[in-house]
Amino acid sequence: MNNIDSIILGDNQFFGVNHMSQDKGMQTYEKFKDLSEIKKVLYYAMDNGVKGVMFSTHPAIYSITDMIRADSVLKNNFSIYVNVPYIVKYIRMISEMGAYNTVKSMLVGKTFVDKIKYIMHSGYNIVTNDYLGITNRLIDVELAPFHGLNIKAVFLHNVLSDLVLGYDMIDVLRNFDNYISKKFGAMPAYGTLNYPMFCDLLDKAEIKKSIIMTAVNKKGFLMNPDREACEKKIKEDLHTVVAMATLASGSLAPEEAYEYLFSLGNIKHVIVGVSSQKHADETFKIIHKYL
Amino acid sequence: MRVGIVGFGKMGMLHGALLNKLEGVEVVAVADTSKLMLIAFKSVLPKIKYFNSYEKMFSKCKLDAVIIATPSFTHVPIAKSAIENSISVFIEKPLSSTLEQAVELHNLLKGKDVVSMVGFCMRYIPTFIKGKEILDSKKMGNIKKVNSQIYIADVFEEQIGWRYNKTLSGGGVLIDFSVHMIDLLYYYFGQVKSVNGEIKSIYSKKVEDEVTAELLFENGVTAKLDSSWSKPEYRKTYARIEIEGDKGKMVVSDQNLVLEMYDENTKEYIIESKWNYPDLYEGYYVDIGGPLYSTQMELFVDIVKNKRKSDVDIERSLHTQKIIDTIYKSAEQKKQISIDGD
Repeated sequence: MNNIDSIILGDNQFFGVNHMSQDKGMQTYEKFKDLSEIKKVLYYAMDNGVKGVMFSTHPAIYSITDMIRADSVLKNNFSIYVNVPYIVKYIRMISEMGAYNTVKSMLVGKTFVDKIKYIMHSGYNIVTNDYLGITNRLIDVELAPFHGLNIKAVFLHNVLSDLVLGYDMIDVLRNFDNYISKKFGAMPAYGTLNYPMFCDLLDKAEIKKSIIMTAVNKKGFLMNPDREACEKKIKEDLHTVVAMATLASGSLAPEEAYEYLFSLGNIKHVIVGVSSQKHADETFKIIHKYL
Repeated sequence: MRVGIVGFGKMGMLHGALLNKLEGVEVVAVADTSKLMLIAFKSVLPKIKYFNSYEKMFSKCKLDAVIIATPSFTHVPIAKSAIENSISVFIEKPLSSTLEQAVELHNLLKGKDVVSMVGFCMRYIPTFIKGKEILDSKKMGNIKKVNSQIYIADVFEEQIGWRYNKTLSGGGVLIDFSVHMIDLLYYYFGQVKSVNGEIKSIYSKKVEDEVTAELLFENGVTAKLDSSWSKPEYRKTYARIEIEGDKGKMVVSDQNLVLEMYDENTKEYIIESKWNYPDLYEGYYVDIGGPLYSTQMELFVDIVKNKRKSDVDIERSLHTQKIIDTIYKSAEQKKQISIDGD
């Protein structure tokens, strides 16, 4: 049995991601350019008993993780859930800039010794045709900003998981699963917008009782092939579901949204984004009624 | 249906994944010039056949269709070779980096038993589909004014790569990115008669970073376009069309749609309907990177299986290419220019 947090604070709002309104997204993005604003939100969450936070690997992530490392209360209290999406970026970079320039720009900010180690390790992977090994080097780069923090789980971003799903690449799943647990001592986890189909793929890869972050909401937003099929699969209780997009990007009122969500029975974990104290107090109060 | 992919980068990989999940469709071959990519994928995807040239792939594999997702200056030679091998084509946008090549490709199609589709994906964004329905219902009356914008935060210094080299790409933001909006306007208002355009470079040395244009359509509508890939405030693509008719007006973007009707009594506009993206999200056979791509691949498979003409085939995309080409000419000659031969 895993011990992941029942409420995980999401980070979309910090980076201006808002599916309803790009203008609204931009406003919050401007606000959270100031790191102390992000710090405040982490404290609001903690005041409400929330001690899990998810971060997507992002060019600006170092400034946030440095801030957490420098604050012993945050560092000791928070479990970090990492979402690794940027591997896709390398594919485009390699095809447009060539492998050399890609490696060069990936290593910005690393020390000389780290760079040498990294290049030698990758070189070894290339010479030995160990391409899953190269994937693991990319994961190392993605997770480097989180050193010294309590990484609870590492999620393969839904775009990547779903791409893996598109080609039934079960070896890639198995590699990710092994590597995350062995190297980082963290729980491997997956994001997907195609929950029923992704469960079938995990089954083929013989990965049982995994952690899946997927959209669950009354509107059926981001639930594929449709809400009914996802609900049915959730009822089978094959994996631990972390529900995301629970408010369908702000188009559902929290009361209505969480009443639906927890009526499904098997949902024990949610990821939510909050951007102010009022917002945090209100949201977490409603969720605590159920969890 | 057996599909090959030329150019296994981000888009090629995405289209392939979507195709694999459609009933009776399978990606069987991939051609890419990067040896590293080919060996890497071979090790994790051994079922697919890999080639380092598209010619080899076409001659050795029996394919029903091919996805061409390579840099734009290679689209036409690859598509020509596919068509000569009786393979139906899906070509990423823009159709070509030059009008001459696009015309050549179009000429080659005559009498060939293949279908084609060009990757103008924004027509399949749920809000823009809804907007087209409303426009076609004639609810808004006679269209008086159209304004459109498409922005992204992408280029803030001189960039490396073919995209930023005019000799290869044919241009900058207009041919690479604004072309999405030009296709949407074509989809909404039909063929264009003449254009007036201006382009501006800010960060790039060889290509333009911004474009403004006025498109005069055959049906009498005039649409303004403003586009840039150097807008720091738009971290994701932001596309918006504002349409004003004598009975109502509509603002449709990739995220929402608001329809307002003019009230004769109060002499004011009153919101009649409003949809946000989640309201129009219906559930898709699979969603990888957005429903627009799922819908696009479903349509492509349908046109190939049923030998049906696509609304966005080579012939129609040639018109889009002419609009682009004429905007560049208009910007150079600083005057309004008509779209020749249409």
